[in-house]
Amino acid sequence: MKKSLFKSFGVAVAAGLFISSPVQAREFADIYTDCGIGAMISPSNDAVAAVTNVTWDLGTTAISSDASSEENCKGGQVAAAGFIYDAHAQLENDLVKGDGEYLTALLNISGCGAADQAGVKSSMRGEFGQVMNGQGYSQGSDFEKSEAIYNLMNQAAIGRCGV
Amino acid sequence: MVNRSKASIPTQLIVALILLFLWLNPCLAESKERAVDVEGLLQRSGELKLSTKETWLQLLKYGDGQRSSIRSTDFFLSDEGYRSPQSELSATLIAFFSDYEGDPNKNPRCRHPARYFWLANELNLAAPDWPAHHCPALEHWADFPNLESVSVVMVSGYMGNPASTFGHLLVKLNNRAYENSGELLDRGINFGALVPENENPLIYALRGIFGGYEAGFSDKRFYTQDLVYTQLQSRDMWEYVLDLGESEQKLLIFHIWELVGQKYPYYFLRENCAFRSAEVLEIVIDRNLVGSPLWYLPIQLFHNMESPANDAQNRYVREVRFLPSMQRVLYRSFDALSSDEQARVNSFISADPHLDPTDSFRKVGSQQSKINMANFLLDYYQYKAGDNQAILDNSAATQLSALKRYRLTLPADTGVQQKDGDELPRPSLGTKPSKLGYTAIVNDERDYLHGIEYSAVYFDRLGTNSTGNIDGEIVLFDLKAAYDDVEQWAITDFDLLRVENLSVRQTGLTGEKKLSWRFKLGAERSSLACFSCLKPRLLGGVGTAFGRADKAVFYGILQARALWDVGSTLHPGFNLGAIWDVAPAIRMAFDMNSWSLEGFDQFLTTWELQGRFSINRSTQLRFGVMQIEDKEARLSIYKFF
Repeated sequence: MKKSLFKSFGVAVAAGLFISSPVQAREFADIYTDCGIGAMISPSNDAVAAVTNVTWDLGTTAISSDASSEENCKGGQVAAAGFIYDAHAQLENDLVKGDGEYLTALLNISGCGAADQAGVKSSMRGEFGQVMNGQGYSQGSDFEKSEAIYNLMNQAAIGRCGV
Repeated sequence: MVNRSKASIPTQLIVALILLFLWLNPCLAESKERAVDVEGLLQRSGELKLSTKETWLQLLKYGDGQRSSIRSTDFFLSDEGYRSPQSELSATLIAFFSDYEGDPNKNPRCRHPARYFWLANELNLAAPDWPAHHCPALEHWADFPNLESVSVVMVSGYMGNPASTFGHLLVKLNNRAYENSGELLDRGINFGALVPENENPLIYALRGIFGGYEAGFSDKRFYTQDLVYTQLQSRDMWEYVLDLGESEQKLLIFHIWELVGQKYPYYFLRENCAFRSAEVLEIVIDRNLVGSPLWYLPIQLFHNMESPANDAQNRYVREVRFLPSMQRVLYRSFDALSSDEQARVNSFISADPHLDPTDSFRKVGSQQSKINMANFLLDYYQYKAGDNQAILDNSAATQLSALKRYRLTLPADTGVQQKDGDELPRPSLGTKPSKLGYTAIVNDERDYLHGIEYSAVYFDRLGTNSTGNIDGEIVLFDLKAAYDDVEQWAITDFDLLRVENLSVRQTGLTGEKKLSWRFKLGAERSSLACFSCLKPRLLGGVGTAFGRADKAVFYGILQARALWDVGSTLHPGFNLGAIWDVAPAIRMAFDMNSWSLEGFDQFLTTWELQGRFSINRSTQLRFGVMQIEDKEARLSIYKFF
């Protein structure tokens, strides 16, 4: 009796693994539009923007806390997209060096475990050269550069980080 | 040996499982709670006078007033909750123990977990930390299993904006799950005003001072603070890690959750980031962190939080960590390069912006040197891109892109970035901001005079400020008065605002020398011979300083003074001076000023020698000898509070 129960359970688990599809990465543009990640740090007023004891929005934002009431703005992908948009310059620097706190933070916020991070970083760095040599990357907008890094990360995470 | 029958073991196991199921079943636990006698709780809360307890009033943010400072109506469960602690207490107990069905995150206990935690403890109810296990959004936000500690972070002052001159303060929730990325993903609890986009700076100043904005706490990840303070504004930070018990920490986290998103009025001088953060911390720190000041600076919270003596026995602060600015890390990293690497880096920065890094580094022998220099230059351009006075132009941006492509051809290596190094002393080791003093004055014309001095904010060039370095001063409302038998009392000097920034070159990195400057708005005597002869005065100057900020600084300033007196009112001139540390407790300063009067037909040269001796952290002796035609000597004792 016990043997048949365990066997059935094992078959069910195996079937579930076979049937379930891998996590689909949302498009960066969709997250940018749906979750309003464009104005994270400060608004466009240079004089006031220099003041750092101001708060541009209150409370548990969709990006910072994942506690938004909007279901489609929760989760690691959204948090990662927002992080990339805010810190793409720092991420570029970490990528060309090969490591850094911002790159590590990105993988943390994406839910990538420590054991997988070295491989993802290496893969991202390897591909980033092609991205930089790509048409118009250096002159691209913040959105375009962020989207490129976001796609790079998702590509590098395939087969790792539980993806 | 007892030979147990085979049938009794499974029976015992089944009974144990049933009992375990009954114990863990939340439905049974809930039905047990439904049995709570709400009327009995209301009566008991009245007998215990819970609505008048300090913690309850703190939870509702009543402060010293008759109403809560929170303006959001949905913070209160009673219509009268904003002005009646008793009404709010009754409504809270009823809400907590009424049947609830719906989104668990909107359960009153989940919206007000600190209230539940405190009331459950006061009323001896089961499971006071119920919200930590039944409120999904709160659990996700707080991440209790990985929540290691809570810190209060002091951000150094920023001369680039008047509103940031006295620094900033925020609370940080430290998460051990993200330790490999430093503090970046910790949650930063930051209080600030809600300022519309494109606000006019003058309107911003007036509304900020006179309460024209609403404000509140946000909870963004700490990297948003790092990007602005550490990188964009090159401000240092000190992180005071709090030493709280598990229960205290839970209450604090619950309370912060309750407050995030609620709206307050904002007053720049007092009800600001420091004041509101101090209010929050008072829920677990049994000290009067706020007091009743007319103004409240961030540094005051740290003075109030630390014990008077050295913090070896400090009850609430476990440790203080120094978080250097990007500029400081960059300078340290430059120092860590070899002299040859430093020279090459400086040459690259100064050279043709279209210079190919590949060509520049070709003659560098070792690959590690190439990596070190390329890494440093990447950080350098990142630093310059964040400097408001030096936005990268197209040429520099092109050079940076070429540098990045080149760096990708070299192996991955983080190189020589130096985050660790000499720490600046924490701000709370300096004097408190306000000053009261007695002065004995001997004057050529007036013989002996008594004087008193008061200053609202006195971080002067001779003082023991937050860094201990010689780098300038910030003084706000500094009043000196003297008494003699003839004219009785008279104000002899007044500074509404006195600011000085002595920028001493701290690095061999090219292009980092900055101007020194000063500004004074107030009133002064045109001569020491007169007593009550103050004249309004506006002074400004720019110049250069050199030396070592931790030992001695020499400076020369070109300046102009507008003195509202009979005759010509604008006096151009120059100042030469020096400030030096004789010993840890003794600092001296000498200044010589030369003013052109009557359109360069007449010159007036003055000089002043001053000194400070620190008796302890709150008491100093000051002496001064000066000559403005006549001579005057002063000996003062200052008390800082």
